[in-house]
This record gives sequence, C-alpha cells and structure tokens, in this order.
Amino acid sequence: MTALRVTLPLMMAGVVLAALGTGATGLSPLRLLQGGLSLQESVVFWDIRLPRLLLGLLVGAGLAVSGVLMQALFRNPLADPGVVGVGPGAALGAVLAIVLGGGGPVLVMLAAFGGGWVAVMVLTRVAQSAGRTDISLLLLAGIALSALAGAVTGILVTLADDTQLRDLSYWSMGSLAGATRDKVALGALVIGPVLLLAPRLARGLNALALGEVAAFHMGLRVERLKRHAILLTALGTGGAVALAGGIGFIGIVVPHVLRQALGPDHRAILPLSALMGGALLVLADVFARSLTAPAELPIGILTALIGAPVFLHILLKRRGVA
Amino acid sequence: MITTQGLTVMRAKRTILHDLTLTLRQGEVTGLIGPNGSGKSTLLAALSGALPYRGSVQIAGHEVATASPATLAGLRAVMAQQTTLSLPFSVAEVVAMGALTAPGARIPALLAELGLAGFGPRDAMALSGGEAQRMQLARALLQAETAGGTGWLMLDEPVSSLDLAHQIAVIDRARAHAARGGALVVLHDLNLAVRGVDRLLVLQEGRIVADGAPSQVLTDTLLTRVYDCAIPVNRVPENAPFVLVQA
Repeated sequence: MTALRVTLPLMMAGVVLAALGTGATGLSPLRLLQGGLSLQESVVFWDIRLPRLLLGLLVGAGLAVSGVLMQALFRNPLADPGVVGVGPGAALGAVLAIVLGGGGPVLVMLAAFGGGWVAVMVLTRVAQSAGRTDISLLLLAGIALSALAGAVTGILVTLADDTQLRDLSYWSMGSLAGATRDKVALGALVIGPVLLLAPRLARGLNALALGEVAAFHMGLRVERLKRHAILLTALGTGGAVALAGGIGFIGIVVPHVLRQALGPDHRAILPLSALMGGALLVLADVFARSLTAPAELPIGILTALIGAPVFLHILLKRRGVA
Repeated sequence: MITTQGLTVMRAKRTILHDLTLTLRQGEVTGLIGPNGSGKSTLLAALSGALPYRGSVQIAGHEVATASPATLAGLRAVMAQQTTLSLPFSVAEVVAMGALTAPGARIPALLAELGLAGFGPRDAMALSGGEAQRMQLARALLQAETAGGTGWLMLDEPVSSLDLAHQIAVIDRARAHAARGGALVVLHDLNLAVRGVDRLLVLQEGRIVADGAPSQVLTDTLLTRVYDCAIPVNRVPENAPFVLVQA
C-alpha cells in the first residue's frame, strides 16, 4: 500500500504529461512545462489534447470500476464487461442510435446504457440461480451476447451511410480521437456518478464474496445491492462505450493487478481502480497515437494486446489452485 | 425466544416442512437431528429468514419474513453448512465481515478460542475444510457478540469437517453462548448431541417426531424408526445414552 501511495501518483503524473505532450504538432512535454504557449499551441492544448486526456481518464475509470462491480456481482475475477457481452450490448445500443436514431450524443449515450443494462440482466438470468453464478454459463452467455450484438451491428452497418460508417468504425475497436469538450462533459455527467457512488457499495460487495445468503445473514439488503451494482455497471460500461467504443480488458487487468498488490478489499480496490483504469487507458492511447504515427491504432487493439494474456494468466492460475 | 406457528415451507412444489409449531428457548442449546433430506437445513434457513414460508416465524417478537436484514442480523447469526469464498480475503477480514459494530480486539481472541491462533493474516481461500469451518464460526460468533451477545446462534452442521477435539470445542462454545443467548445446532453425531445439547428435536420428513432432553429422546425404537436402520442405544451408569450403529 505504501509503495503504491508513491508509485501511483508518480505514474499518473507521468502518464498525464506523456498524453498532453504527444501528438501530431510538436507540443512536447518540455514545452508544456516551460509555459507561454503560442495561440496555435494553446488551441491544440485546450481543444484537442486536454479533452482527449480527460475523456481517456473518464472512460478508463468507468471501464475499470465496471469490471470490479461485475466481478463482485458474479463472484468471479474473470467477469469483464467486454468479455461477457455487456460492452458489445452497449455498442449495439449505440450503433442502433447512430443508424436509426440520427446519432445525437445524448441519444447514443442513453442507447448504450440501455444496451449494457439489458446485457447484464440477461447474464444474471442465464448464469445465476439461487444466488450462485455458474462461470461457464456466464462466459458462454457472454459469447452468445457478443455474437448476437455483432450480427445485428453487422446488419446495421450495411444500412449505414458514409458518415455513419465512419462513426461506426470507432465502435468496433475503440478510439479517443473524437474527444471534444462536450463529450468530456457528457462523460463526467454519466461516468462521474459511477465513480463517486461505487465506493459506497464496497462493504456490501466484500460481504458478497461469501455468497448472497451469507451476505443476507450479515444484515445486507442483497437484492438492492445487486440492483445498484447492475445499474452502475451499465452506466459505467454504457458511458464508456458511447464515448469511446469497444475497449476491452481494462475492467479485468486493472482490478487483477490491484488485487494482487493490495488484496481484494473493495474499499481500496474501487477508488484505486478508477485511478489506475484512467491511467492505463490514457497510456494505451499514447501508444495508439505514437506507434504508427501519423496513422492511429484503434485503442481497443492495444488494450486487447495487454488484456488477453492477463486473462489467460488468471485462467492458468485458477487451474493451478483448483 | 423463537416461535413458529404452522410453519410450512415448499420447495419446487414439494412440501419440505409440514405445519411446525415450535418454541425455542434462550439459555439452552437446541439440537436438530434427523436423516438426510428430513428438512433440518430448511428449518434453520426458514428460522433465519432466508426462505419464504407460510405460517409465522418470530424471533424476539419480530416476524422474520418482514423484518429488515439489518434487524435480523442483530437477532441471530448464522453459519451455513458450506460457504465458498470468491475473493482471497484474509482470515481476519472474513471474520471482521461479521461485525455489526467495531470489533475492537476481539478477532484474534475469537480465532484463538477456536484453535486458529495466528491465522488472521492467512489467505482464507487456502484453509483446510476444518479451518474454514471454524473461521466461519468465528465470523458468526463475532456477529452475535457485536449484536450484544443475547441473540441466537444458528449453526448448520458446524462440526462436519472437524476432528473430535474441535467438535467438542465448538459445541462447548455454543453452550457458552447459550448462557446469555440461544443456540440452534444441526448435528449428525448423536453422541455429540448427548454431550452438548439441552434439548433435542428429531425431524423426519418435515415433521418433528420427538422433542425433549437427549437422554429421553434417544431410544432404540425412535432411532431405528427414524433412520430406518438398527440403532441400539446403550446406557452408561449415569444413564447417559451412547449410540453404536450396527451393521
């Protein structure tokens, strides 16, 4: 914990500086620290880089916190919103709104939230009975949901016009390139409450690790806790997907690393996941912008590149334990 | 006091408990025995408020179906037959979850009482079956203590994974609690019931077929009928029965 108290703020500062100092124009971290920006530089800073940084922090935090919530809800560290179909469900909602509804940002946001919420509800119906989650059913239901969302999205793509198609290409693999001040404001409005409210569920989520019945015996309103966790998951995932598209694995990597370092107590894991999720996504975005510059890699590709091996690592470890 | 009136529990269209009317008194350990599937765990679950039921179940005057989980937590602490942990909390963290108020320095002492001295920082997911069972008991005891110590302890087969010495220690701990509160314990070991229980309820197919002091309840006829197996009851000089199952 003490090591983390030093490294996390340092890491955050480094990531923020790297993110603000990376891009097409030669506005370097050093130049930023010197101050006295020219008009052009200051436009780049305030209208492009700062919104992109803030959006990345919000989206990454939303995804990581959603991951922690889902893992507590389904009592399994492999439950990531992207992997079990909540992300794809939210993406389907967003694509529906873009193609059929004209695609105003608020509508897209609402539709993504709705899609994510429906997906979590389907998962709880399919994979949970009598307070227990069957993890194979959960993952299989996730595959089915992802396939279904992918198929419907495919149909919608053929109906889309050229501008819509360009928008849609963001959803498939994720990007922070469309960051604007409005999107940041919308993100703060939707993801902000998730980040603030989720830690209030921490004690209940801890108790849930002993099972729903034991949590009830210890005095918890289990059904209410689950409803709140589902709602916040759908908001966090839906908000992230609506703003930045399909970015996977943040919700699995970040909690996993933090639990390894600090243990599973949600009172620490939830707020720190928000910080580290934001930092990790912004870092991935820095690489997405610089690895193949001037072209940009979709950020979802990078997070999958880091996340999929971590997922496999958790699987291997669990096999060793079992 | 726990009272039930016409308590009936259905599961998957089968009636598991038939119209039970009971009074459980504080100050004593009530043992619950009966063959597999006779409804022991269902009765304990219904009394704890974890199952829907018809009729009435009241703990200290509170109807459990309508009492809030927080109210119930102050009236009774429960240890289930099996509890699986999904995250690698430490033993001390798991026990602390039972606390309704700040546990103070009670956790190490409770662990020591149950033969788990020094186990606090260990990974609770890596415990043996018997250690995990005693950890869960410590959690239930902490809940009962932080609730004032006068509530009910409901233990579903709390000794199923324990060696003899720990079985006796656990039963004695339940007795100690019952001095101020009440205890209901599901058991399979009839001799342990004789040693540690003040009152024995025998359940068969969802009905109470015997109720009384163990020395009166445990007879050849009753056990042979209930368990459908020849079970002679022997008596040592002080009239305490002991049971040997014959092949």
